[in-house]
Amino acid sequence: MSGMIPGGWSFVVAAYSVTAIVLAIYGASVIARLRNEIARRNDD
Amino acid sequence: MNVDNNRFPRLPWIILGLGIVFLAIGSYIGLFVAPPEALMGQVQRIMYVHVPTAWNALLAMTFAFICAVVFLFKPDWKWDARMEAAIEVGVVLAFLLCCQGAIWAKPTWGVWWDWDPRLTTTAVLLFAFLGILALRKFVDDPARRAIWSAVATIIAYVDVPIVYYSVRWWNSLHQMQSSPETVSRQFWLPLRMNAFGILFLMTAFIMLRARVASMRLTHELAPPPALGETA
Repeated sequence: MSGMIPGGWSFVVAAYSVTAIVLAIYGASVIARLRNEIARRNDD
Repeated sequence: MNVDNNRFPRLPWIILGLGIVFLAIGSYIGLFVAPPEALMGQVQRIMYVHVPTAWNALLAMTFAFICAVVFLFKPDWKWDARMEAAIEVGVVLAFLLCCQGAIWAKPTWGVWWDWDPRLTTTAVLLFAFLGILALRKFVDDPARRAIWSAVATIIAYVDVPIVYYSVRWWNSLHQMQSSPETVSRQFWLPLRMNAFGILFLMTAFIMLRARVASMRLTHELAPPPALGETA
């Protein structure tokens, strides 16, 4: 027994997936809001 | 009144691209090249996204604090727009930080969450800044909204140094701060690559989100059309 935590890849994959999903969704929402504001400005 | 002063329209997109490249390369090295840690094994690879997220969440909130102070001393709408952007990005990163922390806590501590000083002060920080975003939604008058949220940001920022030093001041389950000086040399590259990756992403998000806030302010502060123009 080495004292090292065995396995753990599922937690690593979960952490990286959550990071990618949260950053992608937030980035997409900012870009969508920017496009809406540009469209509204052009309408005005 | 035009608050939207977009002198470098391509800059945020270049920084966004750099952030994606750095984060992709850093994550690849962290997942497949760097060795597992002696005690935590593979689970330690979460550090390469968790620690850079923590640094940048605190950095975004520090920028929001600076914007709030500058706005109160030199009322200029662009600082209000930047403050709103930095608070929102800081909240997103703090939320992500709590998710990553819970995923790392389960295999190492045996629980998803523990009310220890570091986790508790981070949760307080997240909800304090979330409250400021809610305050901005509820106040219609732009001047009141800007002043109230600037004052609230300065008050909420008091928690940032408490979050940072909580692991030194109190007996905490959470380990001491990680930095290139406190981790093995083999872990430096992915940690630094991802730190710069998330820094670039955070900067690009703040720039783009500040532009959204500026354009909304321009719309809000525009004088109403003359009666003859409304038809």
